[in-house]
Amino acid sequence: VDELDLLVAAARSGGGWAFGRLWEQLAPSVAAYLRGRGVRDADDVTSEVFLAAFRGIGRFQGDGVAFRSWLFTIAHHKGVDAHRRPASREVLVDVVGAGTGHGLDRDRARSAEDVAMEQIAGDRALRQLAILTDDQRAVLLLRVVADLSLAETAEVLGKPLGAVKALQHRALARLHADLGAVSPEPGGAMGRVT
Amino acid sequence: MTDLLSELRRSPVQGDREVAELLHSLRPAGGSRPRASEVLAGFIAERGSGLTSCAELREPAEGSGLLVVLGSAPEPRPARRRVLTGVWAQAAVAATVALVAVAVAAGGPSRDVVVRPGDRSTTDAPATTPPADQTDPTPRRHHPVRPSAGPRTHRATPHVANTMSDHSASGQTASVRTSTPAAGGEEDGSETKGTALPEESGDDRGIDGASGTEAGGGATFDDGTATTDSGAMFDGGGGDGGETPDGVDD
Repeated sequence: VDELDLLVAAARSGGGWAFGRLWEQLAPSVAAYLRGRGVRDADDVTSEVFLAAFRGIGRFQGDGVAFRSWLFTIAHHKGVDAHRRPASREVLVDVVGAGTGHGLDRDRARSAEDVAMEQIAGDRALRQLAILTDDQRAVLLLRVVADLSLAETAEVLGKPLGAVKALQHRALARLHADLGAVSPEPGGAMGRVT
Repeated sequence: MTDLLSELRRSPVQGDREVAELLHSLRPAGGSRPRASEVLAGFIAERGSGLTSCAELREPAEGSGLLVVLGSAPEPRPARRRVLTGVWAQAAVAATVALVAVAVAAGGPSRDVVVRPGDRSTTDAPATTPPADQTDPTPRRHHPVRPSAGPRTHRATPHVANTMSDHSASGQTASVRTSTPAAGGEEDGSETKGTALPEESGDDRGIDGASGTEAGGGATFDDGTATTDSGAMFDGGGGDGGETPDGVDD
Protein backbone atom coordinates (compact mmCIF):
# COMPACT_ATOMS: atom_id res chain seq x y z
CA VAL A 1 0.00 0.00 0.00
CA ASP A 2 1.32 3.41 -0.94
CA GLU A 3 2.34 5.70 1.89
CA LEU A 4 0.01 8.36 0.60
CA ASP A 5 -2.88 5.92 0.91
CA LEU A 6 -2.01 5.34 4.54
CA LEU A 7 -1.69 9.02 5.27
CA VAL A 8 -5.01 9.84 3.67
CA ALA A 9 -6.72 7.02 5.51
CA ALA A 10 -5.19 8.16 8.78
CA ALA A 11 -6.20 11.76 8.22
CA ARG A 12 -9.74 10.73 7.36
CA SER A 13 -10.00 8.71 10.54
CA GLY A 14 -8.85 11.64 12.64
CA GLY A 15 -5.14 10.93 12.91
CA GLY A 16 -3.82 14.41 13.45
CA TRP A 17 -0.24 13.39 12.78
CA ALA A 18 -1.12 12.61 9.18
CA PHE A 19 -1.91 16.25 8.34
CA GLY A 20 1.66 17.32 8.83
CA ARG A 21 2.93 14.44 6.75
CA LEU A 22 0.50 15.16 3.96
CA TRP A 23 1.67 18.76 3.99
CA GLU A 24 5.26 17.60 3.77
CA GLN A 25 4.64 15.31 0.87
CA LEU A 26 2.31 17.34 -1.28
CA ALA A 27 2.78 21.00 -0.42
CA PRO A 28 5.87 21.45 -2.61
CA SER A 29 4.02 20.17 -5.66
CA VAL A 30 0.98 22.30 -4.97
CA ALA A 31 3.13 25.38 -4.46
CA ALA A 32 5.06 24.65 -7.66
CA TYR A 33 1.84 24.23 -9.55
CA LEU A 34 0.50 27.53 -8.27
CA ARG A 35 3.78 29.25 -8.98
CA GLY A 36 3.72 27.90 -12.51
CA ARG A 37 0.22 29.26 -12.91
CA GLY A 38 1.56 32.68 -12.02
CA VAL A 39 0.04 32.96 -8.56
CA ARG A 40 1.96 35.62 -6.67
CA ASP A 41 1.37 34.40 -3.13
CA ALA A 42 1.91 30.78 -3.96
CA ASP A 43 2.81 29.77 -0.41
CA ASP A 44 -0.17 31.55 1.00
CA VAL A 45 -2.55 30.01 -1.48
CA THR A 46 -0.97 26.62 -0.87
CA SER A 47 -1.89 26.99 2.77
CA GLU A 48 -5.44 27.82 1.78
CA VAL A 49 -5.58 24.73 -0.38
CA PHE A 50 -4.46 22.44 2.40
CA LEU A 51 -6.67 24.09 4.97
CA ALA A 52 -9.68 23.56 2.75
CA ALA A 53 -8.66 19.98 2.07
CA PHE A 54 -8.01 19.15 5.70
CA ARG A 55 -11.26 20.68 6.84
CA GLY A 56 -13.19 18.76 4.25
CA ILE A 57 -11.31 15.51 4.40
CA GLY A 58 -14.13 13.97 6.39
CA ARG A 59 -16.20 14.01 3.25
CA PHE A 60 -13.47 12.76 1.00
CA GLN A 61 -13.58 9.18 -0.14
CA GLY A 62 -10.79 7.57 -2.04
CA ASP A 63 -7.16 6.54 -1.94
CA GLY A 64 -3.99 8.54 -2.15
CA VAL A 65 -4.18 9.02 -5.90
CA ALA A 66 -7.72 10.31 -5.63
CA PHE A 67 -6.67 12.61 -2.82
CA ARG A 68 -3.88 14.03 -4.92
CA SER A 69 -6.30 14.69 -7.75
CA TRP A 70 -8.79 16.23 -5.34
CA LEU A 71 -6.11 18.41 -3.79
CA PHE A 72 -5.03 19.78 -7.15
CA THR A 73 -8.62 20.43 -8.06
CA ILE A 74 -8.85 22.67 -5.03
CA ALA A 75 -5.49 24.18 -5.96
CA HIS A 76 -6.72 24.90 -9.45
CA HIS A 77 -9.78 26.70 -8.12
CA LYS A 78 -7.78 28.60 -5.53
CA GLY A 79 -5.32 29.62 -8.20
CA VAL A 80 -8.11 31.07 -10.28
CA ASP A 81 -9.41 32.89 -7.23
CA ALA A 82 -5.96 34.21 -6.41
CA HIS A 83 -5.68 35.83 -9.82
CA ARG A 84 -8.78 37.86 -9.06
CA ARG A 85 -7.83 39.29 -5.73
CA PRO A 86 -5.04 41.55 -4.48
CA ALA A 87 -2.03 40.07 -2.80
CA SER A 88 -2.71 39.06 0.77
CA ARG A 89 -0.53 39.87 3.71
CA GLU A 90 -0.82 36.69 5.66
CA VAL A 91 1.96 35.97 8.09
CA LEU A 92 3.67 32.79 7.06
CA VAL A 93 5.47 30.49 9.43
CA ASP A 94 7.96 27.77 8.76
CA VAL A 95 6.63 24.30 9.32
CA VAL A 96 9.58 22.49 7.83
CA GLY A 97 9.99 19.09 9.34
CA ALA A 98 6.41 18.84 10.44
CA GLY A 99 5.68 15.49 11.93
CA THR A 100 9.01 13.85 11.20
CA GLY A 101 11.56 16.38 12.27
CA HIS A 102 14.08 15.52 9.59
CA GLY A 103 12.92 17.99 6.99
CA LEU A 104 15.00 20.75 8.48
CA ASP A 105 18.16 18.72 8.13
CA ARG A 106 17.31 17.97 4.56
CA ASP A 107 17.00 21.67 3.86
CA ARG A 108 20.29 22.41 5.53
CA ALA A 109 21.95 19.70 3.52
CA ARG A 110 21.20 21.52 0.30
CA SER A 111 23.85 24.02 -0.50
CA ALA A 112 23.06 27.59 -1.40
CA GLU A 113 24.47 26.91 -4.87
CA ASP A 114 22.05 24.06 -5.44
CA VAL A 115 19.18 26.21 -4.37
CA ALA A 116 20.29 29.04 -6.63
CA MET A 117 20.72 26.75 -9.64
CA GLU A 118 17.33 25.20 -9.11
CA GLN A 119 15.84 28.64 -8.79
CA ILE A 120 17.44 29.77 -12.04
CA ALA A 121 16.31 26.65 -13.86
CA GLY A 122 12.86 27.03 -12.45
CA ASP A 123 12.69 30.65 -13.48
CA ARG A 124 13.83 29.78 -16.97
CA ALA A 125 11.22 27.09 -17.23
CA LEU A 126 8.55 29.47 -16.03
CA ARG A 127 9.60 31.99 -18.66
CA GLN A 128 9.36 29.27 -21.26
CA LEU A 129 5.90 28.40 -20.08
CA ALA A 130 4.84 31.99 -20.52
CA ILE A 131 4.56 31.42 -24.23
CA LEU A 132 1.82 28.88 -23.64
CA THR A 133 -1.81 29.57 -23.12
CA ASP A 134 -3.21 29.28 -19.66
CA ASP A 135 -4.80 25.93 -20.36
CA GLN A 136 -1.72 24.51 -22.03
CA ARG A 137 0.35 25.58 -19.06
CA ALA A 138 -2.13 24.09 -16.63
CA VAL A 139 -2.09 20.77 -18.44
CA LEU A 140 1.68 20.52 -18.48
CA LEU A 141 1.94 21.54 -14.84
CA LEU A 142 -0.61 19.03 -13.72
CA ARG A 143 1.06 16.31 -15.75
CA VAL A 144 4.63 17.08 -14.70
CA VAL A 145 4.45 18.79 -11.32
CA ALA A 146 1.37 17.12 -9.89
CA ASP A 147 2.14 13.73 -11.44
CA LEU A 148 -1.41 13.37 -12.66
CA SER A 149 -2.46 11.20 -15.56
CA LEU A 150 -4.28 12.57 -18.57
CA ALA A 151 -7.58 11.38 -17.19
CA GLU A 152 -6.93 12.95 -13.79
CA THR A 153 -5.81 16.15 -15.45
CA ALA A 154 -9.01 16.24 -17.45
CA GLU A 155 -10.93 15.68 -14.25
CA VAL A 156 -9.17 18.51 -12.44
CA LEU A 157 -9.66 20.94 -15.29
CA GLY A 158 -13.19 19.81 -16.01
CA LYS A 159 -12.42 19.19 -19.66
CA PRO A 160 -12.89 16.23 -21.92
CA LEU A 161 -10.00 13.84 -22.16
CA GLY A 162 -9.56 14.52 -25.86
CA ALA A 163 -9.32 18.24 -25.26
CA VAL A 164 -6.63 17.72 -22.64
CA LYS A 165 -4.67 15.49 -24.99
CA ALA A 166 -4.83 18.18 -27.65
CA LEU A 167 -3.77 20.85 -25.21
CA GLN A 168 -0.78 18.78 -24.16
CA HIS A 169 0.22 18.09 -27.74
CA ARG A 170 0.06 21.73 -28.68
CA ALA A 171 1.95 22.79 -25.56
CA LEU A 172 4.81 20.40 -26.26
CA ALA A 173 4.93 21.52 -29.88
CA ARG A 174 5.23 25.14 -28.90
CA LEU A 175 7.95 24.40 -26.41
CA HIS A 176 9.78 22.42 -29.05
CA ALA A 177 9.60 25.32 -31.42
CA ASP A 178 10.70 27.79 -28.79
CA LEU A 179 13.66 25.69 -27.75
CA GLY A 180 14.98 25.73 -31.29
CA ALA A 181 13.69 22.51 -32.61
CA VAL A 182 12.43 22.95 -36.14
CA SER A 183 9.27 20.98 -35.63
CA PRO A 184 8.04 17.91 -33.85
CA GLU A 185 9.78 15.06 -35.55
CA PRO A 186 7.81 12.03 -36.63
CA GLY A 187 9.84 9.69 -34.45
CA GLY A 188 9.61 11.95 -31.43
CA ALA A 189 7.77 11.18 -28.27
CA MET A 190 5.34 14.04 -28.54
CA GLY A 191 3.03 12.24 -30.82
CA ARG A 192 3.08 9.11 -28.75
CA VAL A 193 2.84 10.41 -25.24
CA THR A 194 -0.48 9.64 -23.68
CA MET B 1 8.61 10.77 -12.33
CA THR B 2 5.58 11.20 -14.51
CA ASP B 3 4.90 9.10 -17.53
CA LEU B 4 5.09 12.19 -19.69
CA LEU B 5 8.57 13.08 -18.53
CA SER B 6 9.84 9.53 -18.82
CA GLU B 7 8.47 9.25 -22.35
CA LEU B 8 10.10 12.48 -23.38
CA ARG B 9 13.40 11.50 -21.82
CA ARG B 10 13.42 8.15 -23.55
CA SER B 11 12.72 9.75 -26.90
CA PRO B 12 15.48 9.55 -29.50
CA VAL B 13 14.66 13.09 -30.55
CA GLN B 14 16.89 15.70 -29.00
CA GLY B 15 14.07 18.23 -28.84
CA ASP B 16 11.98 15.91 -26.69
CA ARG B 17 14.77 15.49 -24.21
CA GLU B 18 15.26 19.22 -24.05
CA VAL B 19 11.61 19.71 -23.35
CA ALA B 20 11.80 17.00 -20.74
CA GLU B 21 14.70 18.78 -19.10
CA LEU B 22 12.81 22.03 -19.14
CA LEU B 23 9.69 20.50 -17.64
CA HIS B 24 11.69 18.65 -15.05
CA SER B 25 12.99 21.93 -13.69
CA LEU B 26 9.41 22.88 -12.94
CA ARG B 27 9.17 20.12 -10.40
CA PRO B 28 9.77 21.16 -6.80
CA ALA B 29 13.29 20.74 -5.53
CA GLY B 30 14.04 18.05 -3.01
CA GLY B 31 14.10 20.05 0.17
CA SER B 32 12.03 23.03 -0.77
CA ARG B 33 8.80 23.36 1.08
CA PRO B 34 6.40 26.28 1.16
CA ARG B 35 5.74 28.18 4.33
CA ALA B 36 2.39 27.59 5.91
CA SER B 37 0.05 30.30 7.04
CA GLU B 38 -0.51 30.69 10.75
CA VAL B 39 -4.01 29.40 10.37
CA LEU B 40 -2.85 26.21 8.73
CA ALA B 41 0.04 25.75 11.14
CA GLY B 42 -2.36 26.19 14.03
CA PHE B 43 -4.75 23.72 12.51
CA ILE B 44 -2.06 21.12 12.01
CA ALA B 45 -0.67 21.70 15.47
CA GLU B 46 -4.12 21.45 16.96
CA ARG B 47 -4.63 18.13 15.30
CA GLY B 48 -1.60 16.77 17.04
CA SER B 49 1.22 16.76 14.57
CA GLY B 50 3.60 18.14 17.15
CA LEU B 51 4.00 21.54 15.58
CA THR B 52 4.23 24.58 17.78
CA SER B 53 2.18 27.58 16.93
CA CYS B 54 1.02 30.72 18.61
CA ALA B 55 -2.37 29.21 19.19
CA GLU B 56 -0.84 26.17 20.79
CA LEU B 57 1.35 28.23 23.04
CA ARG B 58 -1.54 30.36 24.19
CA GLU B 59 -3.71 27.52 25.47
CA PRO B 60 -1.29 25.98 27.94
CA ALA B 61 -0.55 29.43 29.31
CA GLU B 62 -4.16 29.86 30.26
CA GLY B 63 -4.32 26.39 31.68
CA SER B 64 -1.23 26.85 33.79
CA GLY B 65 -2.65 30.08 35.13
CA LEU B 66 -5.62 28.20 36.37
CA LEU B 67 -3.46 25.55 37.89
CA VAL B 68 -1.37 28.05 39.77
CA VAL B 69 -4.40 29.67 41.28
CA LEU B 70 -5.97 26.42 42.25
CA GLY B 71 -2.73 24.91 43.47
CA SER B 72 -2.28 27.69 45.97
CA ALA B 73 -5.75 27.25 47.37
CA PRO B 74 -4.99 24.47 49.85
CA GLU B 75 -2.01 26.39 51.21
CA PRO B 76 -3.91 28.94 53.27
CA ARG B 77 -5.94 26.26 54.92
CA PRO B 78 -3.48 25.25 57.65
CA ALA B 79 -2.53 28.88 58.18
CA ARG B 80 -6.15 29.77 58.74
CA ARG B 81 -6.48 26.93 61.17
CA ARG B 82 -3.49 28.21 63.01
CA VAL B 83 -5.08 31.62 63.15
CA LEU B 84 -8.36 30.23 64.28
CA THR B 85 -6.89 28.11 66.99
CA GLY B 86 -4.85 31.02 68.22
CA VAL B 87 -7.84 33.30 68.26
CA TRP B 88 -10.06 30.78 69.93
CA ALA B 89 -7.46 29.99 72.52
CA GLN B 90 -7.08 33.63 73.34
CA ALA B 91 -10.84 34.08 73.39
CA ALA B 92 -11.30 31.09 75.63
CA VAL B 93 -8.68 32.28 78.04
CA ALA B 94 -10.20 35.72 78.07
CA ALA B 95 -13.67 34.33 78.52
CA THR B 96 -12.47 32.12 81.31
CA VAL B 97 -10.86 35.02 83.03
CA ALA B 98 -14.01 37.06 82.55
CA LEU B 99 -16.24 34.30 83.87
CA VAL B 100 -14.01 33.73 86.83
CA ALA B 101 -14.16 37.41 87.53
CA VAL B 102 -17.93 37.38 87.21
CA ALA B 103 -18.18 34.28 89.36
CA VAL B 104 -16.02 35.82 92.00
CA ALA B 105 -18.12 38.93 91.89
CA ALA B 106 -21.49 37.18 91.78
CA GLY B 107 -20.91 34.17 93.97
CA GLY B 108 -21.83 30.39 93.92
CA PRO B 109 -23.87 29.54 90.76
CA SER B 110 -21.03 30.54 88.51
CA ARG B 111 -19.41 27.11 88.80
CA ASP B 112 -21.64 25.70 86.10
CA VAL B 113 -20.77 28.56 83.83
CA VAL B 114 -17.05 28.24 84.37
CA VAL B 115 -17.03 24.78 82.82
CA ARG B 116 -18.36 25.92 79.44
CA PRO B 117 -15.56 28.18 78.21
CA GLY B 118 -13.11 25.40 78.81
CA ASP B 119 -15.03 23.30 76.29
CA ARG B 120 -13.50 24.95 73.21
CA SER B 121 -14.12 22.18 70.77
CA THR B 122 -17.83 22.81 70.93
CA THR B 123 -18.94 25.92 69.21
CA ASP B 124 -20.48 27.32 72.32
CA ALA B 125 -18.37 30.37 72.15
CA PRO B 126 -21.44 32.58 71.77
CA ALA B 127 -22.46 31.31 75.21
CA THR B 128 -19.59 33.31 76.53
CA THR B 129 -21.05 36.50 75.15
CA PRO B 130 -23.12 37.35 78.21
CA PRO B 131 -20.02 37.73 80.29
CA ALA B 132 -18.31 39.36 77.33
CA ASP B 133 -20.89 42.08 77.55
CA GLN B 134 -19.66 42.79 80.97
CA THR B 135 -16.06 42.56 79.96
CA ASP B 136 -16.05 44.43 76.71
CA PRO B 137 -12.36 45.25 76.76
CA THR B 138 -11.33 41.60 76.74
CA PRO B 139 -12.00 40.85 73.06
CA ARG B 140 -10.08 43.95 72.12
CA ARG B 141 -7.07 42.53 73.85
CA HIS B 142 -6.94 40.01 71.05
CA HIS B 143 -6.52 42.54 68.33
CA PRO B 144 -2.85 43.15 68.97
CA VAL B 145 -2.38 39.43 68.91
CA ARG B 146 -4.05 38.89 65.54
CA PRO B 147 -1.54 40.57 63.28
CA SER B 148 1.24 38.50 64.72
CA ALA B 149 -0.81 35.34 64.57
CA GLY B 150 -2.27 35.99 61.18
CA PRO B 151 0.38 35.47 58.53
CA ARG B 152 0.53 37.07 55.09
CA THR B 153 -2.66 37.35 53.18
CA HIS B 154 -4.96 36.44 55.99
CA ARG B 155 -4.57 39.49 58.11
CA ALA B 156 -7.99 40.52 57.09
CA THR B 157 -9.54 37.14 57.67
CA PRO B 158 -9.60 37.17 61.49
CA HIS B 159 -12.73 39.26 61.23
CA VAL B 160 -14.23 36.39 59.38
CA ALA B 161 -12.71 33.96 61.78
CA ASN B 162 -14.70 35.45 64.64
CA THR B 163 -17.88 34.32 63.03
CA MET B 164 -16.46 31.32 61.28
CA SER B 165 -16.24 27.99 62.96
CA ASP B 166 -13.98 25.19 61.88
CA HIS B 167 -16.89 23.77 59.98
CA SER B 168 -17.31 26.88 57.95
CA ALA B 169 -13.62 26.95 57.22
CA SER B 170 -13.68 23.40 56.05
CA GLY B 171 -16.68 24.28 54.02
CA GLN B 172 -14.70 26.95 52.28
CA THR B 173 -11.85 24.64 51.49
CA ALA B 174 -14.34 22.13 50.23
CA SER B 175 -15.60 24.66 47.78
CA VAL B 176 -12.05 25.21 46.59
CA ARG B 177 -11.60 21.53 46.11
CA THR B 178 -14.69 21.23 44.05
CA SER B 179 -13.52 24.06 41.89
CA THR B 180 -10.33 22.21 41.06
CA PRO B 181 -11.90 19.33 39.19
CA ALA B 182 -14.32 21.75 37.69
CA ALA B 183 -11.44 23.69 36.20
CA GLY B 184 -9.91 20.45 35.01
CA GLY B 185 -13.17 19.66 33.38
CA GLU B 186 -13.08 22.94 31.58
CA GLU B 187 -9.66 22.16 30.29
CA ASP B 188 -10.78 18.82 29.10
CA GLY B 189 -13.77 20.41 27.57
CA SER B 190 -11.70 22.86 25.65
CA GLU B 191 -9.56 20.07 24.37
CA THR B 192 -12.47 18.09 23.16
CA LYS B 193 -13.92 21.17 21.62
CA GLY B 194 -10.61 21.82 19.94
CA THR B 195 -10.75 18.49 18.23
CA ALA B 196 -14.41 18.50 17.56
CA LEU B 197 -14.89 21.97 16.19
CA PRO B 198 -12.69 21.73 13.12
CA GLU B 199 -14.49 18.62 12.06
CA GLU B 200 -17.78 20.34 12.45
CA SER B 201 -16.53 23.37 10.67
CA GLY B 202 -15.11 21.13 8.01
CA ASP B 203 -18.47 19.58 7.54
CA ASP B 204 -20.04 22.96 7.51
CA ARG B 205 -17.60 24.21 4.97
CA GLY B 206 -18.75 21.46 2.75
CA ILE B 207 -16.00 21.05 0.27
CA ASP B 208 -17.70 19.15 -2.39
CA GLY B 209 -14.48 18.04 -3.91
CA ALA B 210 -14.96 14.59 -2.50
CA SER B 211 -18.17 14.12 -4.32
CA GLY B 212 -16.54 15.70 -7.28
CA THR B 213 -13.81 13.14 -7.15
CA GLU B 214 -16.29 10.36 -7.11
CA ALA B 215 -18.31 11.87 -9.81
CA GLY B 216 -15.20 12.54 -11.80
CA GLY B 217 -16.48 15.87 -12.96
CA GLY B 218 -14.73 19.11 -12.29
CA ALA B 219 -17.99 20.98 -12.33
CA THR B 220 -18.98 19.56 -8.97
CA PHE B 221 -15.83 20.72 -7.24
CA ASP B 222 -17.13 23.71 -5.47
CA ASP B 223 -14.62 24.70 -2.94
CA GLY B 224 -16.02 26.51 0.07
CA THR B 225 -14.31 29.76 -0.61
CA ALA B 226 -14.41 29.49 -4.34
CA THR B 227 -18.10 28.96 -4.74
CA THR B 228 -18.65 32.44 -6.04
CA ASP B 229 -15.83 32.15 -8.46
CA SER B 230 -16.28 28.61 -9.48
CA GLY B 231 -19.10 29.42 -11.77
CA ALA B 232 -17.08 31.97 -13.62
CA MET B 233 -14.18 29.62 -13.66
CA PHE B 234 -16.14 26.85 -15.18
CA ASP B 235 -17.52 29.26 -17.67
CA GLY B 236 -13.97 30.01 -18.57
CA GLY B 237 -13.33 26.30 -18.76
CA GLY B 238 -16.12 25.96 -21.23
CA GLY B 239 -14.66 28.75 -23.24
CA ASP B 240 -11.30 27.08 -23.18
CA GLY B 241 -12.88 23.90 -24.27
CA GLY B 242 -14.18 25.82 -27.18
CA GLU B 243 -10.70 26.86 -28.01
CA THR B 244 -9.47 23.33 -27.97
CA PRO B 245 -10.97 22.23 -31.30
CA ASP B 246 -9.29 25.23 -32.85
CA GLY B 247 -6.08 24.01 -31.46
CA VAL B 248 -6.72 20.59 -32.79
CA ASP B 249 -7.30 22.09 -36.15
CA ASP B 250 -3.94 23.71 -35.87
